[in-house]
Amino acid sequence: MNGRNEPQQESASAHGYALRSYESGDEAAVLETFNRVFAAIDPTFEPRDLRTWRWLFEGNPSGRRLWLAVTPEGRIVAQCAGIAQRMLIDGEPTFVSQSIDSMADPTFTQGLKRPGAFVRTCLGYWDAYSGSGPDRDAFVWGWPVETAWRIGKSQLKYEVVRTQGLLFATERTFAAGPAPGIDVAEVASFDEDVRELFDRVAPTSRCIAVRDAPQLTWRFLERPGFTYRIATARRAGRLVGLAVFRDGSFEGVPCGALCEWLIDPDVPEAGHALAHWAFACTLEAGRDELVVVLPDSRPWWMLMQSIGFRVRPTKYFPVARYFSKRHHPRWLWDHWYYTLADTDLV
Amino acid sequence: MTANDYEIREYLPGDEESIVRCFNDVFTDGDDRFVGRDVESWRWSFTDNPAGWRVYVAVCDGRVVAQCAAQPLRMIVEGAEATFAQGVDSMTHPAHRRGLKRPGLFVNTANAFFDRYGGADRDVVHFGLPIEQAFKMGTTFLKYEVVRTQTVLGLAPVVPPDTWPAEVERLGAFDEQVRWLYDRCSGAFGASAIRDATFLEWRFSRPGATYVRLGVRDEQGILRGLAVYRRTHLVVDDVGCVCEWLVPPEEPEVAELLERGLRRLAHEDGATGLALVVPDWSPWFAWMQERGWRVHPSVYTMCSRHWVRRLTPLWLRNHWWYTLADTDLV
Repeated sequence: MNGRNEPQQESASAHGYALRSYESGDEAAVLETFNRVFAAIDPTFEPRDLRTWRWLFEGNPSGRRLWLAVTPEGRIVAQCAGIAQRMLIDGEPTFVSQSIDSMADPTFTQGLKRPGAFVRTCLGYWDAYSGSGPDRDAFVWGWPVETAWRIGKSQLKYEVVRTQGLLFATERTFAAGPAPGIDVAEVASFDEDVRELFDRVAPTSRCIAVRDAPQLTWRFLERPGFTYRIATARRAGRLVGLAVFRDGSFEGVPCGALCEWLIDPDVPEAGHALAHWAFACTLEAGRDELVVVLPDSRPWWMLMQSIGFRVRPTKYFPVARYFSKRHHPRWLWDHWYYTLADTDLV
Repeated sequence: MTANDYEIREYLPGDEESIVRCFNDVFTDGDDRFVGRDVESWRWSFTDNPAGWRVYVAVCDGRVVAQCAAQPLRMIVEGAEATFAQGVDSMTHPAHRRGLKRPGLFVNTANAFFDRYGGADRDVVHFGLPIEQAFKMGTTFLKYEVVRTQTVLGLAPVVPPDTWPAEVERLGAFDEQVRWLYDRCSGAFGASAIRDATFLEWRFSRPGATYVRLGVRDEQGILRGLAVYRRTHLVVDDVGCVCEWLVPPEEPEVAELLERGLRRLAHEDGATGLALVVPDWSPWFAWMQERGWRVHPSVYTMCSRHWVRRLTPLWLRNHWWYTLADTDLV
């Protein structure tokens, strides 16, 4: 748990379940419940395997966030889970987590008194992991579907950070080429100088998840079942840009996706060169468009439009539950930099 | 101060001077751009609005010290007439911000306002475009929710056509053709304020503001599209704001003429750029980008509080047509 305080546990009670953090051995029951619950509500759902589960929750170098409601027999009543992220907020190290896989097993939860097992589990998660300070999650965020959003806003105090637009480019609109003096190369691994690049990028956004070799290796090279292409941009040998591409789909539309985008703020032409590479990857994959998700409040939102990206709405809207007044959703709208790499969407 | 020191009630004729005095005291505080309001302007905002007025005040010692107010809009929502109202000029006099304990004087005034005006048979939606401070107040105490973080279509620099497009005319008074045009456009809108001569004449007769009305007509003189322009401050200074844009989506040739007219007008007017607000689901959102307009972030968040279950912020995001004319920003 990366040095974090062991959270308070709550033993089995009148509710008929215990609230506690994940313990080794829970994974089979968690996975069985996850696959059953989500298959019932999502016809396109593909069951998750144990390897993927372990990657998601045990492999993340930023830590684990798993809070469960468990019956005495070891069955999972509800889960509140998140992807931990090491952050720099105003230059200070801290954490946040992206809420994912939240669920309640209807077998147990129907007829339960308010607040239900799910809400109690989420409240336990926040008690365990969230708050102010370097080892707590400053905010918890997510990309809710409509049903989750109704519960999130009414019972868990989530608020909308933004309504997310999608930047997309087609062969007709795309207008970036290679940049003189910038060498773009596809690579098979992340080197240690990624952190140096991140340290140059980070001061331009007051709120940003740490990009370093361990984190990106976990996110893109160790994820089971997914293949990503990674490119670096260098000027005179110095890393000035990093991009990750994936052939896939977004909101059901086949496309190339720019999953990660980290550009030295003093070398915007590195972004042009990497966008050129990513668009070539898109055409190579037989796709018509390249898409990227960025905050509209950050500089690359406009810079992407200047090289031929256009904007259309999406169904997505990041929401956040914040634990200090400073990190109000409007502040996050203004200062938080994220890419698809921060999400579980690609 | 106690609750007995304040009377919270609906506006009564004669309140306007005290409201305006309070408004000027509140908004002059720390705003270099602020231009004091007069009673004529207040009357235009509220009592002259053909859709009516929504004003609740808190009065202390005979003076208005807080206000919760809104400008109603006659709407068509899923084919039926309804009313939305835009919250404007919310205020509490600085000397009374500690008046009453939690939830405070303004929230008490607002709650009385919502009790009076919100409901399935009254205003079905209240909305607003608050900046950060008002946004926190609205979401924390008044149950406002985010419809969308508002983007603005912007064009800068403006490259004008060499000449004024001959098919584009400067319109005089609006007439019944505005409603005909609205009816041709509104089929795709789940919810929209009714554009007719009454509404637009009131909206674009705002005291102290100069608007230019542009239109394109067919050979029979029938109005095929209209745009209303005003150079003002919107995020940045001297922007040519497209306050209204009403063109059937299946008539891009009309849009092209109007857009060229707007470019020419902005150029002649010395505007630094052009700005337009339309919903991002609108075909015009994509069309304008094809013409070189870009999608800019803004400090505004469109928020709503709904009184009919189905008119959730999510539904409004996907179905509600609005332009700057629906707001008090320009």
